[in-house]
Amino acid sequence: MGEVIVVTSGKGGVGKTTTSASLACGFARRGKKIAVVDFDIGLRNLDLIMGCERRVVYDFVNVINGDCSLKQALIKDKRFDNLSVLAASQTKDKDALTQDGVAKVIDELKSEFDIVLCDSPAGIERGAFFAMYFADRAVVVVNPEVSSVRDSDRVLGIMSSKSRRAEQGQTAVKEHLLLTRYSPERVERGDMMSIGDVEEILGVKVIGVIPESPEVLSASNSGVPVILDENSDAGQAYTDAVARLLGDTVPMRFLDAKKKGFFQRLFGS
Amino acid sequence: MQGLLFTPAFELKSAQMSLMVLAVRRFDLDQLQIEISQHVAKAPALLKNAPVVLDLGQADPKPTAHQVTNLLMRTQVAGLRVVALVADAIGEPLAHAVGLPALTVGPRRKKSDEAPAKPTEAEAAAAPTAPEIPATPDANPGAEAAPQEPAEDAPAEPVAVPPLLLPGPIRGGQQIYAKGRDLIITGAVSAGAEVAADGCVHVYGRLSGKALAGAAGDVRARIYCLSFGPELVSIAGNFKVFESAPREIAGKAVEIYLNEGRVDVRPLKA
Ligand SMILES: Nc1ncnc2c1ncn2[C@@H]1O[C@H](COP(=O)(O)OP(=O)(O)OP(=O)(O)O)[C@@H](O)[C@H]1O
Ligand SMILES: [Mg+2]
Repeated sequence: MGEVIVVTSGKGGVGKTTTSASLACGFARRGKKIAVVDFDIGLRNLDLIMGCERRVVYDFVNVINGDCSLKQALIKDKRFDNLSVLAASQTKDKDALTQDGVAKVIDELKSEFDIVLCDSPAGIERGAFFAMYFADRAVVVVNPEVSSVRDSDRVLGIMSSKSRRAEQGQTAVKEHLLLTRYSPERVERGDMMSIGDVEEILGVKVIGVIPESPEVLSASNSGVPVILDENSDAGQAYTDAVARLLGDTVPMRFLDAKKKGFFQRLFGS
Repeated sequence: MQGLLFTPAFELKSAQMSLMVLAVRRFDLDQLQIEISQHVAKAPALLKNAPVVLDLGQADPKPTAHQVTNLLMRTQVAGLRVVALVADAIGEPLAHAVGLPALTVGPRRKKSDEAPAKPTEAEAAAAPTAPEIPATPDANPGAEAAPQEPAEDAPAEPVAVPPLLLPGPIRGGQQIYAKGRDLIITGAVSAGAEVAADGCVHVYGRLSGKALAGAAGDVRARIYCLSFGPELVSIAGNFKVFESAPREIAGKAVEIYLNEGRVDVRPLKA
């Protein structure tokens, strides 16, 4: 049986979809058979960032409504044949998601794939709720700022009390924090929260820190998840995060301002 | 047959309950309405529509019956229900005038089987219009077991009521209410979370949200936390709001208690 991982946040625009796309490619590159599912019904942009928007014929809601089979709706990635995308629908309403419908799709995906990665919409409503309800693990994407941290706290609370695991009395959903849009310069200046601050407030360990990086936008625009851009800091940081999610021990990188090397920092610049 | 015929339709029992007292200091209708709504908004789960006893003993200026009627309406709009007036020289005639019962607030009253009575607690014994239960916040579903009813009439053996014990963290948006007992949280209480108990509240972690002890009116209830940084603390309905924690106690292990009707915070000695 595969594992369900939700990428969630509470607050909007913090980098969930960017993260989902990169983690999906990262897991695929590590040989995992993976499906990534867009729960942002009505907005649909995971497929754009994955670069498969022109091949969307059927979507998540079509599968739930029985318009097509799950197999027909899954879009195989052109770069990794062990990676598939289940797109959201642009035209349909969020109410199209039903608990039974989503459960059926998730359970079918679990039997086919090692990892089912769910890209949650912002907020704590229907779409976000279903995205996290079936999760075994959660990657909570948080920006180092108060409002994002508060919303993540809220989402963690809902997950610990209302997820399927909580309802069935199973071991709790495993929680990870992924700090994104991190700017060491701004942390140093004191206008951004540090990793320690965020970990302390939320009481959850950070599994990765993705620096603010201009390559993210260009990657999104070209439909190539930033993790595949080996020259970008953000891409390398996502590669590290994937490794940690798979249990590897990898030191944190890109935490210091102005990218000084170790010796440079020791002896000043 | 006889049983059916002669079973009385009612039973008059004596019961004790604690109610919050709304003690008016400055009788300014507009200001009172604003402040009461603000208070209720801070802890809606606990206070919304809570029954209170109106104490006009210290009210300045002394209101007329007409003004009290006006205040009753405004209090209701603001989210509290006045169920009676405190029966003192001022309250007694006003209570008659506005058609509410007048209640004698229990002074220190010793009972052999009971700890000293709570000074601000309103004794509602045999007052038929007094509500049966104090304000009952929405408890986190599943977090609370059946409420513990105190033994009726009979001077019961003092039994330790087990606390409601929950692992933390209690996160933003979550509400916990330990009815009739203490609440122990082994972990943090996040900003935006609300933890309340009729007894004491213990937080073995950082307190960043709201904590309310003595929710049913026990002024002896206290709050303890390992790291102080709450949005609000309340003992028996007496609030203190913190925009930010004062430097001397921020992040410290503290005890929060009621000191002559005011909420006080003091560091716990190591
Ligand atoms: N590390 C980063 N550096 C720079 N920009 C980033 C980074 N991560 C995300 N962004 C940008 O932030 C914006 C929002 O990202 P994204 O769409 O992934 O967020 P989201 O959480 O999925 O949003 P929504 O809540 O709307 O679904 C995008 O413009 C994206 O390019
Ligand atoms: Mg998104």
